[in-house]
Amino acid sequence: MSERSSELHLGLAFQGDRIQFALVTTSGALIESQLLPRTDDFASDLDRALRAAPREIRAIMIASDNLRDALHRAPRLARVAALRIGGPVTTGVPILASWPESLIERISPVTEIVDGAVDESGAELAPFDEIAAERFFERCIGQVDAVAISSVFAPLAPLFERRAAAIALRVLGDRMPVTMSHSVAGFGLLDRENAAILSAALTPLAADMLRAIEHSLLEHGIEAEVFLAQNDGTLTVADLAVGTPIRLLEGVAAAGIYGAGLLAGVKDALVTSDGLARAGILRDGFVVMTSAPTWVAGSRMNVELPVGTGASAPPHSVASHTGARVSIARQSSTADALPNAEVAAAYGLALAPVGATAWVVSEPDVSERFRLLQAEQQVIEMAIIAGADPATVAISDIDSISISHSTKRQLRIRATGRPMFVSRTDRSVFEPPTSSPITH
Amino acid sequence: MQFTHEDIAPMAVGAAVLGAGGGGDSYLSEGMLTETIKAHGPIEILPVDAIAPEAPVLPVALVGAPHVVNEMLVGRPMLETILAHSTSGQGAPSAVIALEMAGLNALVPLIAAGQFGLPVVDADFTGRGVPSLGMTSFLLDDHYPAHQVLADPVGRSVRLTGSSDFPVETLLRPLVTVMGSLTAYTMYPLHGADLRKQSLDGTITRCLEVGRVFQNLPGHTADEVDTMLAAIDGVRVASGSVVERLAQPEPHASRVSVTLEDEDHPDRLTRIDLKDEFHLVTRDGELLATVPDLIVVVDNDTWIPLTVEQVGVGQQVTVFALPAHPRWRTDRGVQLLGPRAFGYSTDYVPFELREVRS
Repeated sequence: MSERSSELHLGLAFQGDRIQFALVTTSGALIESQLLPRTDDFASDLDRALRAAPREIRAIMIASDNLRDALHRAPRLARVAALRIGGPVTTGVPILASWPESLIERISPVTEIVDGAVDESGAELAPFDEIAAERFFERCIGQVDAVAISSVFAPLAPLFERRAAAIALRVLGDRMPVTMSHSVAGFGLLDRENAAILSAALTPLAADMLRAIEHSLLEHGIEAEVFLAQNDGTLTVADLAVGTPIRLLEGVAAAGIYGAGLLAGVKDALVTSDGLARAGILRDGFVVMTSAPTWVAGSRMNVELPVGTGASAPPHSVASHTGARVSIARQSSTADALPNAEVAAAYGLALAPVGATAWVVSEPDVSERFRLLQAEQQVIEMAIIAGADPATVAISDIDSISISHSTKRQLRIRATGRPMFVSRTDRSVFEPPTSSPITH
Repeated sequence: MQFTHEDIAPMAVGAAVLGAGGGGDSYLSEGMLTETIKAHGPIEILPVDAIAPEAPVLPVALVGAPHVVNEMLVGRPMLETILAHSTSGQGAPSAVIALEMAGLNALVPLIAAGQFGLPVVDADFTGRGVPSLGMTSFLLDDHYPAHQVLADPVGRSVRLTGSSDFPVETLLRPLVTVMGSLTAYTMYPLHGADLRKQSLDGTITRCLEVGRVFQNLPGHTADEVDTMLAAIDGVRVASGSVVERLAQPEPHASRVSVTLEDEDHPDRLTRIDLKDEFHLVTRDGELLATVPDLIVVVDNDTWIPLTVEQVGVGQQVTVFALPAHPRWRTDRGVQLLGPRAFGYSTDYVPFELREVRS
C-alpha cells in the first residue's frame, strides 16, 4: 500500500435542502468546501456536485437522508415478500405484528411462516421446509419487488436464511433483491425481521442511488472508490452497502456527529445542531448508539441508531461529563462554534473509517477465548470486504451486554480500517446491486 | 370483566412497569395477544371469589432467558403440552392464572386462556418481576402444589413430582437450560381454595391501572407526572442521563450498576444496581428505593419502561418507585425478596419514607 497522506477524499452529505461538499486530504486538511442547493433528484444533484470535483480524488464518501425520508414519507415503497423460517415454534406472533396499517399498505406484503428452527446452540429443532419456501416464492412471482427472509437465531446460525435466499433467487430470478435478517441486525427475531422487511422495501431505491453514482462517475471520468456512511458513521463500499439500506438511514446524522468531533479535535463530545433539533454523542471517537429497540415509521426494529437522532430532546448533561460541547449549527448560543461547521458531515465522511459489526453470544466456558478470536477474525474479514485496507484493519471496540437469566453475554464486535482504493478496472463495473448481502 | 383489544396496550405497558426491569419484553406478547383476541374474541377476567373452591386452575408462565424468547417467540405446542399435563393431573382447568404478573408472563396467560377458551383469574403469585419462579407467594407460605411441569417449544416436557421441599430455582434452572432456555411452566394441583389463601388478588386490574397511568405520562410536566403517579402510589425518585454502565467481572458478570447524571445537579450522581431486575437506587450514599418495591426506569424519549439490558450510556431516563404487594413488605417478604436476599448489605426501607428530591 502506498503512503496515502496526499490522497484526496471527497465527502458529500445530502441533508435537508443542502449538499455539503468537502474535499479533504487523508491527513485531514480541508482543501475546499461548498454548500450546494439540493433538489429532489439524487442523480442530478450528485452530477452537479461531481462537476466541482477534481478528477484525481481517490475516494468519494456519500451520506444521504433520502432513504430515511422515503421510509417516513414515500407513498409507495417496494413490494416485499416476507418469509419467516420459524414454524412451528414462532407461529404465535405473525409477521408484521403491531405494524401500522398505513405502513403495511405501502409495502403490499406477501408473507408466510414455514417450518424450520434451531435452538440457542444452533442445533436443529425443526427441519427447514424448503418445499414450502419454494411454493411461497412461486406465489410471489410478479407480486413483489424485493424479498426479506428471517429465521430463528439467524445471527448465530444463518444457514436456513442462506438456503431460502438461494431458492428465492432461483424462483424469482437472480436480479431480485434478497435481504437476509442476519445481515441487517442482531438478536431478537421480530425486531430483526422488521428491520429486514423495512430494508428490503428500500432496496430498489438504494439500487437507484448506486446506479446514479456509477453513471455519474463514468460521465465525469472519475476513477474513485465510493463508500456510503452507515448508521454508526463508519463506511461501507457502496455496492455492498446498498444491499442493506436500513443500515444507512442515519448515516448523514452520524457523519455530522463524527465530523464535528474531528473539527473540534475531541473524541468525546455532545454535538448539537440547529436549534438543538438534532444532536448526538461522540465517545472515544465513535458515535454513541442506542441500546434500546428503535422505532422507524411506526415499526420496531433492532438496528442501532445514533443516540439523539430520534424526535426528542438532546441529552444535555453528557456534555459536562465528557467535557466538550460542540455545535454544527450555523449559529449556536449554547455551544462552542466550530469553523467549517456547516460541512461537518461531509468532512466527517471524508475521514471516516470503514467499519463492520457483528453480534455474538458468548458463554464463559473453556472455549470462550477461542470463539471470541474466531468472531474477531470474522469481523475483520467483513471490514475488508466492506472496503477497509487489510493492513490497517483492527478490532476497534467490543461492547458486552450481560443476558439476564443466563451466564451468557451478547457481544457486539466492531472492526474498522482505513478506506482502500481498488482500481475500477479491477472490478466488474456496473453490476446491478441485486446482491444478497454477505456481511453483518 | 372482559379483556378486549383496547386493554392490550395498557396491559403491556403495565406489565413492563411491573417487570421492574425484568420479565422480558412484553412487546412480543402484545402481537400474540392481538392475534389471539382477533381469532377468539375477548377474554373473560374473573375475580378470585368467582372460582369455585374445588375448581382446578391452570397457572401459566414462561421460564427461560429473554434472549431465547426473543428469538423463539411463543408457539402453541408448549402451551398445549402444559394444558395436557394439568388436565390429566387434576381434571380440565376452569381458568388460567398468571404466576408472575410482569413482562411477558403477565400476557402469556391471557394468550393461553384465549387459545384454550378459558377465563383468566384477576390475580397472580408475585405482583412484580422476580428473578426466579421460586420467589412467589408459595414461598411466603412455604407451600407448593405437588407437581411442576416444564415444556419446551416443540412440546417435549419434564414433570417433577413431590418437589415442594426442593429449592425450585436450583432444581428448575439447569433443566430449563438443557431444554433450550425457553419453557412453558405450570404446577398442579391448584384449586380455587388455594387461590383464596395464596394468590395476590386483583393484580390484572392493578397492571391495567398502572399501564394506563404510564401510557398517559408523555407530554406532562414533572408536577403533573407526580400527581398522576400518586394515584397508583408511585413516586419519581431520580432522572438524568446514563453516563456509565459498569458490569462486574466474572463470576458476577450479570451484576451491573448504572450511573445517572442529573443535569440540574451535576455534582450528585444517582446509581442503580441491577441484575435481572432493578434492585437499588442510591444518590450520594442515600438509599432512595430498594427491592421488593418496584424500581422502574423509563426512556425519556419514548416513556417506555426499559428492561435491565436496555439501559445504555447516553440515554436520558427517569426512575420511578412503586410499592410491592403488601405481602412482600412483611418481614418474611423482605427476607425473601429484599436487598439482603440479593446480596446487598443494606436493610429495606419503604421508598415513601425517604425524602424525595427531584
